[in-house]
Amino acid sequence: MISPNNQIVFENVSKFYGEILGVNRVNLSLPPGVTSLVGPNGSGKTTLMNLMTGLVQPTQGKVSVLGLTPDQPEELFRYIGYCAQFDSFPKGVTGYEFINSFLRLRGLSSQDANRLTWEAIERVGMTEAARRKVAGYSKGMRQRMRLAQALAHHPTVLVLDEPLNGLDPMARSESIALFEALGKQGMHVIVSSHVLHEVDKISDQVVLMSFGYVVAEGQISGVRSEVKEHPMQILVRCSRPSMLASRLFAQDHVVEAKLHTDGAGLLVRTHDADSFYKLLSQIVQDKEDDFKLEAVAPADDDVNSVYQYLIGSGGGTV
Amino acid sequence: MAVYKRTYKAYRGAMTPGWSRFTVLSRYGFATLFDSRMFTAFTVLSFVPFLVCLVFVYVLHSATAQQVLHAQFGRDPNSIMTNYWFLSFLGVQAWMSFILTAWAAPGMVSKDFANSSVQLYLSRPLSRAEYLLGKVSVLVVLLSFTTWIPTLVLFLLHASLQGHGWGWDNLWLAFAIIVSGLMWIALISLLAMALSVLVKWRIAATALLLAIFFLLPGFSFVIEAILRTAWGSLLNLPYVVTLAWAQMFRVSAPQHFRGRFGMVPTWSAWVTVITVCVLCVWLLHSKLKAREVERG
Amino acid sequence: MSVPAQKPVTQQAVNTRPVQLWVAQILAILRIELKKNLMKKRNIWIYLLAFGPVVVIALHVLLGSSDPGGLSEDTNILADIFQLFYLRLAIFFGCMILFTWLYRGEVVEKSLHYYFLAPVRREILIIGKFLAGAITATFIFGLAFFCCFGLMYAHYGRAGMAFVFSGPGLGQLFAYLGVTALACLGYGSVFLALSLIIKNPILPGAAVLLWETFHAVLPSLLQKFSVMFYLKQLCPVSLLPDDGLSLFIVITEPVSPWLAVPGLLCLCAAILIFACFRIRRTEISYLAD
Repeated sequence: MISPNNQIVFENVSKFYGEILGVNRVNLSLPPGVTSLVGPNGSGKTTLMNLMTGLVQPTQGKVSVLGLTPDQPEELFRYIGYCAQFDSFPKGVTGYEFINSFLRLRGLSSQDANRLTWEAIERVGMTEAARRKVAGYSKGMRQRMRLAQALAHHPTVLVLDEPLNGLDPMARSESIALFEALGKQGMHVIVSSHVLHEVDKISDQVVLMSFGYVVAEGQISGVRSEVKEHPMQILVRCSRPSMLASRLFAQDHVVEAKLHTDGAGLLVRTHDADSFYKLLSQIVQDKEDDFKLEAVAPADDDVNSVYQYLIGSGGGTV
Repeated sequence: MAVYKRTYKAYRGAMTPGWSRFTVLSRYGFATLFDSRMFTAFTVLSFVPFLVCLVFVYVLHSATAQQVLHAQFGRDPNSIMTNYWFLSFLGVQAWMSFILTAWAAPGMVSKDFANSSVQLYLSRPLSRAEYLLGKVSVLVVLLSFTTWIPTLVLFLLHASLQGHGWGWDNLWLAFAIIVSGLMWIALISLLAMALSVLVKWRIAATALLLAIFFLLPGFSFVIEAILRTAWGSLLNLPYVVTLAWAQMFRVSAPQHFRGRFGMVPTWSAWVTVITVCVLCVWLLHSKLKAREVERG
Repeated sequence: MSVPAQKPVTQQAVNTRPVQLWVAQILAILRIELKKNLMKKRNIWIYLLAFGPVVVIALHVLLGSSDPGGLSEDTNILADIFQLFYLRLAIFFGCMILFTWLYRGEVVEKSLHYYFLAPVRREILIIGKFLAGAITATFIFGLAFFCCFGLMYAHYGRAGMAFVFSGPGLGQLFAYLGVTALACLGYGSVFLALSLIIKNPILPGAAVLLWETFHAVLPSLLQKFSVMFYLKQLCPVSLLPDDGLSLFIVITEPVSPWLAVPGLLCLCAAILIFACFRIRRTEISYLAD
């Protein structure tokens, strides 16, 4: 069971920057695992992350991370690592100095700080460049070094604002694998990203945001099933798709059945997925139809589809 | 076969003429400055001495007004409205304009550097000189309205009320007002711009501008006291400018300007002012470039 | 990228007593900040400011003076230089640059959030940064004035040595260095607090400069809110009043050093406490300065 002290909790949190809305009336409870914050530019993802880490203070409401509030920095920031959106470093530092100096600030001995610094640097594959000045790094290298700094003290909550920006495809997949592994170890990994199909693969839950409001939250399949106005899309790979289509058209809940271009499948849109699955199992069991089912899979219960349904093109660019 | 739909059309409408394009920057410059209520309030405040003096000049020439106000200024307004009076008024306005410059100028260019927008400006059909002209013109207009224009208005008011060809006889004074004002404006505008381009940070540029006008006089005192020479005062820009103005207005330099080691000749004051302006232009020429250098 | 198991490695720091932890954190902040303050190319202005008079005095010593003033005259000139240049201007502007940069510099470089995300109380951060600034300013200006003092009296050979070691010289030097340290603390706290409140603290700084310059003409109660009021009285050699201001000066009862030093330190502590309150409510906003 997840205790409340193991969660990141937003209680009726609002943040206004003067007259501009950051986020409004956010109620969230994020359990351990990988959580993706998804939404168009200006939807409030970064504000939510900044609220979580105490970089901005809520106009109203309360934020707690693992039962701790930003008023307790000495406790709270032992557990938080935040890789913020700002691509900036203290002037004139090397990669090693950057990580090491902030570890020393945590009260660690020189020896421990040194060990953790190299561990973090190795983890992001920056060992060779560590003694070079950060100002001479490429964008991807700077991003990795910031990730190393966020990870160096072994946080329990890792908050990553657009962590895949500027990374090459290899580094992207390595980073995604790292986030996934950290999530599986029981860490909170909060990721905001515009590359939906990448975060989709690793997210245990998503928080969809638009115009400062949380539009949906939870496991992606659960969120998808709640979106009633958009029929579910299910892809069926089978031997006689036209026969299946004819059977399906007799059902009220089926909106559309489209033959796949290779003739070996059918894309079905239905308002009632459960009834559809029941019918499908009847057809399979029915020996007379000589129907062979190869695979059934939802075609639109990914972050991208849910995003399109809930936020759509009106929400902004992704 | 490929089909290309050519729907994009380049802009073919009317363009602003090249010679006046810099005024776009000026317009935005003014708008940005007067967005600040504090700045607007201070600009208005800088006109208060002018309004007071305007009333004063009128009262000085009006026996009726003097009677109503129970004021006695003597019979001859010319004994009060001397070249020294105009110089003092210009001096007060010059310090007002200095504060306005320290407030406004550093942000004009350094913000463009901080936001990497210099590159954006200079990738348009706008030369570096035009960019600078656009920025400096804001200061020139603003400072003109706070320095030589009000002084000249006072001169013209006095001349018109005085009559009998006073204005014509003292045309040199009008010339002195305009040249002194423009010299001051050129000096502080170029300095402020050059310092902003040099340090590229508004706060540092403001600090440097203040340091040049307040700290260098202190250092000039150190040079004078230790090396026992008057030449140190050439580092004291307010002193140098006052010396040049005194010559323009045909008045003698203030008594405290003659220190233990005498006073520098007036020509050296002019040379200093011109040298500072040339240095600033050189700095602007060499530093105002649309490039970013990343050093490892 | 490898994935070692996560263990809470910073727990040992939590287990140490708060005071020990705060000291360790202040030392870490000092290490970072002192390196930045003393070594950065940007701070060359402060060195120029501080060592300008040293160069002038060195020139005077090297070239020889056509008008050697004598020990007492040079003592007065040194007092003039200290009070009119160092105290009123150089330390003031030096602290303005240094202490404004401590906070605003982090905002300009967009690196303040790294500090805010460390498990350090923001009050500790401010105190650490303030101490780093005060140590830097005192070191630079103290060393510069020490050089001025040394060069000024070395010029006189034996007579100079006698003045320093057998006469009032050494006492004066210590007094000057003490006043330098107090000035750095006083002005430093003012500028650190100003930089927390205002985006461009230089113009209010200019107002402070005017206040400090003309404090002598203010009513005696208001004079007590000036850093210069206390420092002036701690200087070993008094200056003659400024020609231009002498008519308007308001004579105020002098404060003894036993009151002046704690008075100044209290003023400084009060401003720092305000800065601590302020930083607690500070949010990260990196809008262009």
